[in-house]
Amino acid sequence: MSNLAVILSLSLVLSVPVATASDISDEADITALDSETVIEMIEQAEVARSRAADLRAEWLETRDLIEQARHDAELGELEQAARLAMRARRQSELAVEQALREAEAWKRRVVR
Amino acid sequence: MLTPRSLRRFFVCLTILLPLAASAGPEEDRAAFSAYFNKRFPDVPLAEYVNGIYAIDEQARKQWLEIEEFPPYEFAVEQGEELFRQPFANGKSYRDCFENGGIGVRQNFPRFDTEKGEVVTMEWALNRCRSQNNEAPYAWKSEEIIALSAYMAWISRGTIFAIEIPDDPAALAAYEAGKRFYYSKRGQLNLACSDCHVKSAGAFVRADHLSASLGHPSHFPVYRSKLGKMISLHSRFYGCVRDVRARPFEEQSEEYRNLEYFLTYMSNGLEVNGPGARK
Repeated sequence: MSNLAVILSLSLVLSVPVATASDISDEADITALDSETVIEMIEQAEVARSRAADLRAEWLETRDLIEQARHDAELGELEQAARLAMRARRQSELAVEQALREAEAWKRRVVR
Repeated sequence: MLTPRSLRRFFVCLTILLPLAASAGPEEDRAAFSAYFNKRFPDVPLAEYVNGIYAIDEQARKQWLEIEEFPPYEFAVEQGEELFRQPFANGKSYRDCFENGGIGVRQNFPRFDTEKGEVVTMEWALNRCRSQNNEAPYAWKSEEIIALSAYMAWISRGTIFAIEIPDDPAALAAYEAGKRFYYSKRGQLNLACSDCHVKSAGAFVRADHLSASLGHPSHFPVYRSKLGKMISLHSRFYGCVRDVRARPFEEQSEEYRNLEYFLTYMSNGLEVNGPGARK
């Protein structure tokens, strides 16, 4: 019971705040973005997502975030679109890091 | 007495042996897997693991035994039998695709097809049989393929899993890919299958206990009370991957077939007792 609690807590601590911190630190930069820049940010997120997908390591909500970002950008909600694009990109970067780390790390968990 | 020469020999041996220990063969893996759970739950007989969580959760086991008095999967078994007996348009039937007319073969699946270089699960074999006889394959989530799979398990009950890894590098690679998938952390929660079903087996996750992986594939497909329907093993894989917040793979994807290959090999020696009933 305690093992799982520790795993879940660590996972949440490691994943959620990273994305949030990234959003907050860039907040000042995303309030006055033009449409072209936001579309570029969404494309960058898509490239990062596709890298994670190539490693078969994509996270659950990344595609939805990108889709929502596109939708918001079309409606002119640029700040929200930029925020979602950054979150999607960060998720994808973390997914790639995870996959690369696990290329060796899984071996340490094998029952022997 | 330790001399520089003996120390050097010691480190040379260590360098050779450590990588070997990290890449044990399937049979060593299976023995270690079984021994782990035996040590972890010394009061649980090995044969009991085919009952999943009901092997280690006494309260849940009582409820399950009551459910088993009128098994909710019976309808699926009946439907599966009916489908199995129906001849194809060309006059052949599923019987023609399997050894022994399909009776008592579940314990040999998944198997590795050395000609095609792929893992063949029970459902994959059933759909392949349809394709070979010019029938459209069923969708993986369809009621029909799950019912057929339930029937195949039912008529194999009591047989002993004997998954083989043929002498073919591709077969061993498929096993290793399944093993790697099983032990790799994924998703936003950064969890591996083994984190829940080895390391934390028996622990609570919200109001339920986590089951042990040993024996996991033996009772599928299962009727899930909370969903009110039968589901396949791959549907359960899909749910677990989604629950750790990773993008799930399609049922019968190469990833899940390899995972089933590894996981069922770990259950070699245990009996087929599918289909089953779960919460």
